[in-house]
Amino acid sequence: MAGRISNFIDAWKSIVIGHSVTAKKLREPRSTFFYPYEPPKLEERYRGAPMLVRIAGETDEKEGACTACGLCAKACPVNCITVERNKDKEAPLKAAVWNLDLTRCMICGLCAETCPQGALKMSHDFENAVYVKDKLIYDMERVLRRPVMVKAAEPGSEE
Amino acid sequence: MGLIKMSKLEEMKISNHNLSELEKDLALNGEVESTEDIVTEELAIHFGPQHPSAHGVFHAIFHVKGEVVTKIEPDIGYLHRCFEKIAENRTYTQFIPYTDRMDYVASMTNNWAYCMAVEKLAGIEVPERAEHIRVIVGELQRIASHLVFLSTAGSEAGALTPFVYFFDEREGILTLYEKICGARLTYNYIRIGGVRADAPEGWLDDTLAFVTRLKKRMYDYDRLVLGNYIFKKRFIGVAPFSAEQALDWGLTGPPLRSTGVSYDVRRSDPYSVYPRLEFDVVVKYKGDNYDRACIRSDEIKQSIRIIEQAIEQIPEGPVKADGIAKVFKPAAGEGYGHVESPKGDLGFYVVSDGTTKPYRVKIQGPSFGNLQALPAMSEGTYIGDVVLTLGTLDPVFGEVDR
Amino acid sequence: MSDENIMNQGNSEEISAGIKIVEEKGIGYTLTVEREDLFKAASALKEAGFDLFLFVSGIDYPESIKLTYRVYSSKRQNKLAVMLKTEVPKSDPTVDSLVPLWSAANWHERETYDLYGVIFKGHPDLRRIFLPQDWVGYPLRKDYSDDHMTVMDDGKKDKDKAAAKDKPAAAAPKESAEKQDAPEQPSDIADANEVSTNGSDKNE
Ligand code: SF4
Ligand code: SF4
Repeated sequence: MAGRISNFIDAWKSIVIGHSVTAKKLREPRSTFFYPYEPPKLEERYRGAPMLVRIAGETDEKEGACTACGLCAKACPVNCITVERNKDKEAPLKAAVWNLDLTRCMICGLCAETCPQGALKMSHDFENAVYVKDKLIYDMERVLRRPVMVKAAEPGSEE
Repeated sequence: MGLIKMSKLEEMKISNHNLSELEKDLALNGEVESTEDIVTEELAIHFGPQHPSAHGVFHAIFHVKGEVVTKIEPDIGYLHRCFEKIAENRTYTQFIPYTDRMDYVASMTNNWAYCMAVEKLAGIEVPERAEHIRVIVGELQRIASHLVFLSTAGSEAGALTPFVYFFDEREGILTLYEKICGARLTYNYIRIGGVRADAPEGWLDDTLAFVTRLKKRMYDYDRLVLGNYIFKKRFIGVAPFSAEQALDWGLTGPPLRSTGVSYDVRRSDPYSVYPRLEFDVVVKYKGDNYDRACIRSDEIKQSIRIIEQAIEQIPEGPVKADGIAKVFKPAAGEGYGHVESPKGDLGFYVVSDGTTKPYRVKIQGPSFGNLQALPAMSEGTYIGDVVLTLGTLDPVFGEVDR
Repeated sequence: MSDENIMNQGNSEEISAGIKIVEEKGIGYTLTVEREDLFKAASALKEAGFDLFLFVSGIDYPESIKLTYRVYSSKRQNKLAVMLKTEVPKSDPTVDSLVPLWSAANWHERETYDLYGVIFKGHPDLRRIFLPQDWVGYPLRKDYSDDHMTVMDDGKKDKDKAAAKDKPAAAAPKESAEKQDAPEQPSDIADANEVSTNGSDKNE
């Protein structure tokens, strides 16, 4: 009988503690947000899909600082970047083809870390869902058209 | 309440449960007069692979007699991706993001263990500041992982509210991680010879503020979950393991320490700056489910202590070792590095043949070793308790199957 | 023991008669034995207080498979963990199972059998653990090839290869490196079948 009474008291104590903790929690600000209606607060270093940065001052041109060195393609663990240099020897070093296969990309950021020109950055773009898979294979134009949320930094200073 | 033939039960020697009390209870409620005429057959029940309590994709066949599990046949491999083979086809740096995907509740310690193994292999010294940052993020990771444990343990015992609170706290850690490395789950932050980038301005203060707040709240959470009447009734005395059994079955981490063996890599094979930090290795002695749960809550408090000290001691300086070539090419040799991950002793054994790619990477996953003991631990307990026992072993199937 | 004649190489300690652990760079204390002596050496280690079995790892070399075990001691004061190394030839990849000493070796040995095809004599339940029971070959061997498996191929792979040929600057396709090796040796497959019929019980 004594055991039953102490059980009874223990059980009620648990309930009271539970309610008191919940009451405390009620007074705290809410920590969720209504995502599609409220934009999420992304931190500055947030890693979204990789993107090419435009040369500062030439924002109207669809041109990046990329010199088609191909280091990013080498650094990528899943081979999702394809870079081809333009054939014209006289022209400035530019990529003729710069494709990113986002279906394979795991947003690890190794490519952006490697780029010696600072031309490749991790954007803040995380809404990458599409209806057709092919749309996830981005060409250079598409990559350049991404919203630029990171300022173009000094070459080779991806930190 | 499933009715069981009592004499049979006694034959099965179920030491974990107070049978006489159960019998008394049943007799008291007038449900059972003579237990002799209740006959049960042995059934095989499939658990998983897609079961919400299976902590991932775990398939097991439970042989049950009434409510009592007589035999468990675990079946793993549903998440097997053969990272060890992938590693042989990637460069040393390229493999770091893959380690994130092993124990995805504690990616940071995976990064750390792998990088430590490669550093041992190549004989790289890591700068002081980087070591301190590693300790801070590593301990934050332990807190985050143990919070997930406490929330799931609670919800498995029927308490769904703490789940939300603990995930809310974990959110704070994930935000800190997002600030320092840009990702919330797959960090890819620790690099061979240091870390990817220094902590941004104000990050250390934010971290200190977070752990100070958490320290205050842990008191409430302890009372809410571990002190709860139902939680105690469900966890105390269930599936106890002795130290000999635990060592025999190769448990590591909190399940081993709950049996009284003080094996913590941070003290047994000190690495990084842990020798300079003050903290206790939490040890419990009964080795039952409740001890396995409590030990994690206590470890959160120790981790908070470590973080406070590390933030106090952190020196200025570089965060990456000099002289690591872009194309990393260690000399032929072997390296073994292990850390105390939230799940246990996580080790990487890296063999190099002098090229840019590892010749062999062996991953010693603590979840794999711990899960192995599940049949020995829970045969003879009730089927409802097997899920709790599985929960207190805290396996993550990304690491079990690798 | 093979390390009897090794002179004082760094730190070392004699655990019991003829069994001496030597410190090695990068991995700590090591004990290298012939495979016939493995069980004896492991028993000596167990008696010396190494009571926690941590893992066993295979390493594939052209002629042999090297096995590395790691055991830890919860009782000793120093030299707490030892790497126990041995080697089995590929023509006859059998070695004594350590399950009688440490129950923990069970799954670890199954894993090594699954991925390397090393057969552990005396193991109570030697079945594949990660892969399906009817899998052919041992994936972690360097000469493993999965050509026998049906692969969905929409020509993407060929395109990758062609692109890689055009510009050597870009990364070589890594997938192809896995595939170009020689096919599986038939003797291994025979081994696999033999063991899986012997070792497996009715429920797979
Ligand atoms: S983020 Fe990682 S996976 Fe994606 S393209 Fe860059 S290196 Fe490749
Ligand atoms: S590493 Fe930078 S500069 Fe080189 S190809 Fe990639 S994006 Fe262009």
